[in-house]
Amino acid sequence: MKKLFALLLAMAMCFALLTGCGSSKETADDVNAEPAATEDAQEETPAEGEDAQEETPAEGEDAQEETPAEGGLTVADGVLTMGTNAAFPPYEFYDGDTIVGIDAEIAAAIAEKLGLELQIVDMDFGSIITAVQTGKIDIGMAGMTVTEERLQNVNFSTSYATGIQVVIVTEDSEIASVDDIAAKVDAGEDLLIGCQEATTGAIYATGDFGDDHVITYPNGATAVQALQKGKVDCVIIDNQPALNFVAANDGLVILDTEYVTEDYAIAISKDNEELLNQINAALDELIADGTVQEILDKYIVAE
Amino acid sequence: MEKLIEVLKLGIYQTFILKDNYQYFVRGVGITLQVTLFSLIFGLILGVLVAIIRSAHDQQPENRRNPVLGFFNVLAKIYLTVIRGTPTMVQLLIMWFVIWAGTRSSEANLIRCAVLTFGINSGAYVAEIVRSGIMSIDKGQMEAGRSVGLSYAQAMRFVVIPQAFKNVLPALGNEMITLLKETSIVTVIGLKDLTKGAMIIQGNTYQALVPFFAIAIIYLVMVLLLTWVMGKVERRLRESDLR
Amino acid sequence: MIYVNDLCKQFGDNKVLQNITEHIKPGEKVVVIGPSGSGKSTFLRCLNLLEQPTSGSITFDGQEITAPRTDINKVRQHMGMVFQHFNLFANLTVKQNITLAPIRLKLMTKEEADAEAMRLLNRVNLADKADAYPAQLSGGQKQRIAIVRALAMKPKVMLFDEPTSALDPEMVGEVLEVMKELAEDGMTMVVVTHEMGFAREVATRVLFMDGGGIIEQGTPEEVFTNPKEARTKDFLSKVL
Repeated sequence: MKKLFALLLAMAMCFALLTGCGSSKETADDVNAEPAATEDAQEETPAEGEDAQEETPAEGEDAQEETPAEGGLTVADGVLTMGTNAAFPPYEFYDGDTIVGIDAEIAAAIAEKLGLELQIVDMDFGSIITAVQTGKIDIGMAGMTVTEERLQNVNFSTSYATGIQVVIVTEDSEIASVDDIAAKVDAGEDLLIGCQEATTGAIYATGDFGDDHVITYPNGATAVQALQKGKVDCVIIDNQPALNFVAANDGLVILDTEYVTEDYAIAISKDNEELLNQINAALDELIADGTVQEILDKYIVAE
Repeated sequence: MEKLIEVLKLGIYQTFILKDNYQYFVRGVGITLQVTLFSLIFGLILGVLVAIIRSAHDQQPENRRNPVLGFFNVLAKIYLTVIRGTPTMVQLLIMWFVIWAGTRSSEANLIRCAVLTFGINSGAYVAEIVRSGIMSIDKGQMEAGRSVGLSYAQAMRFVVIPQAFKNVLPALGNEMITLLKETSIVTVIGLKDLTKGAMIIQGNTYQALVPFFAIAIIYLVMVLLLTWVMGKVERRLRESDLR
Repeated sequence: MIYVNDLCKQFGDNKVLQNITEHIKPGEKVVVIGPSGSGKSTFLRCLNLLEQPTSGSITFDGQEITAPRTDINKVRQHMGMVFQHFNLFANLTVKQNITLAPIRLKLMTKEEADAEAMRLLNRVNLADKADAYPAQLSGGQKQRIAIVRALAMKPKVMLFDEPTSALDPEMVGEVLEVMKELAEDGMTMVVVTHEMGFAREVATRVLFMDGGGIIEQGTPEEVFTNPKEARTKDFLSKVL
């Protein structure tokens, strides 16, 4: 039994190593081989992405020998593939069956600067980073916040926008400020905070108030629904989607005091320094010439 | 190769050691086991009950159908159709956000809701497994039981069910394994089970492979243990087959 | 003891029993013979309502058991039944097979039931099998235990449904031996069988059934040596 377990563990680790590190290069081949698939990349589901992932370890070694280590800038020639979770208005959301929003437009501007064609792939928020690390996509753009821990696993570009985490409560709530949350938690009250899984809101809330007070949901809409149904007392979420949620649902308000302020950046694989540099260069130009601000202003209407 | 080891070291450090992250796994296993165990018990009771109603109804003589039993049989059939015809995750979302609307997200409430949902869900599968077991028992066993004066219920309980149970044990074991793994969808209502633990760590660190492989191994070990226990039970129940 | 009045049984359109009226007196050993498909097993199974009669009535011990409100479980406690395929409870040991009903129906304490089981097992020379499971026994042993299981309820009548038909020939004797002893003890018995020797030796009355009715009946001598009906003669010529 012990030996069997050790063997399984070893196998799992080997598999992890192969998929984790080998793949960013050889998938270049993979994707090139089937350019048709990327055509409708916008509709591609995460499930499909995983299929492809399973193929990589087997093909990995061949591909590595054939192509030079730094094969190219992007996984597919002439195409910049961006992964996002299109349920985060106004950064990314569906307009009909196209994904639009701040991130989509900034990515399009960057692609134009680099002379690349942009493809957007919608996937679970949690899967974006894995997809970047394993070379399924070139960049992850989904209102992602830079943290120390994350920087060890992925590269981040220059920040292109500022995110504010705010608190949504029901109109009749006793919570009037962020301090009230802390006070209630300190007083040992049974206060529950709803967040979106894997977001910095969830991370900071867990850090500040403790794991027992934080309930995370697959997306922001579910967290807001939990608030409406009385399952949690407040929701900590990004300011922009919060505005949309409050506008769409009666009886909800956003507290005046901000919870935290943070910088959004583009996630890029650690194996692709070249792409990081180019994107930073493009982004710097776009910020300097006011394009980024224009896009932000277009989507974020001043109150 | 050196780079791979570096990456793995960082992954293991961030997954388990940093900020006592291993606690997510420890507590997650506890939650997963609790939900699985109580759902199993609940599902088993419900399933056996429904199986008895269904087979009691089907075994009635044509000309002497009990209308009360007929009513419960229809209910049982609706239950089986609805539960087996809809995704578990949808059932869980409906149970938590619609039927249990207004219930606080305390851990106890979340566990109760999960147990209720998975119990009801598993009960439908158990019912069909047990019913097939009951139907597979020679009807002479029931007749013999009745001929010495036992009631239908007594003959069921002391003669038919024990034999049926033994016959369907492998299928039940399978259902338990499925249930154990399926509990991972409780993440959608915010319960911090084993899978949620990995998701939280992934969100914190953007470290995906190690946390997910870690829980894959933990699930596998739990399934292996369950399989081992079921094997033991099966061997014990097979005693009466010895020749 | 058992009055059968105008008993009919139909399976769908198939009339298995037609207008049977019969009286079985205490202490009688009635042997039912007849070709297969003649309805004799169905007749026997109607007596303790394992088959629900389509019409007609059955009265046992002064109680009309076909009446709607009868507690049939109570009635069956007094009617032992032995099946062609033994039907021992496969999940229980021999002793548990015998004591299950007396204990669960609260007729005896566990100690009493165990003692009674051992007494009966000794009688059929199977005391050493008390803790064996049915799967470990031969057919003849199983059937003897099935008889003991029925006897443990202290029945007023014993019904035998082809008790030796599923046995290997060398085991038929041991089962018939137990049945003979039972007959000698004065038990009221109704036996469906193809064992003509047993019928001749033990029966106080023989019923010949064919086509769902009783064609002819009488003492073994009357039926076997001097049959009146053509169908009886025909049947006997084939089996004797």
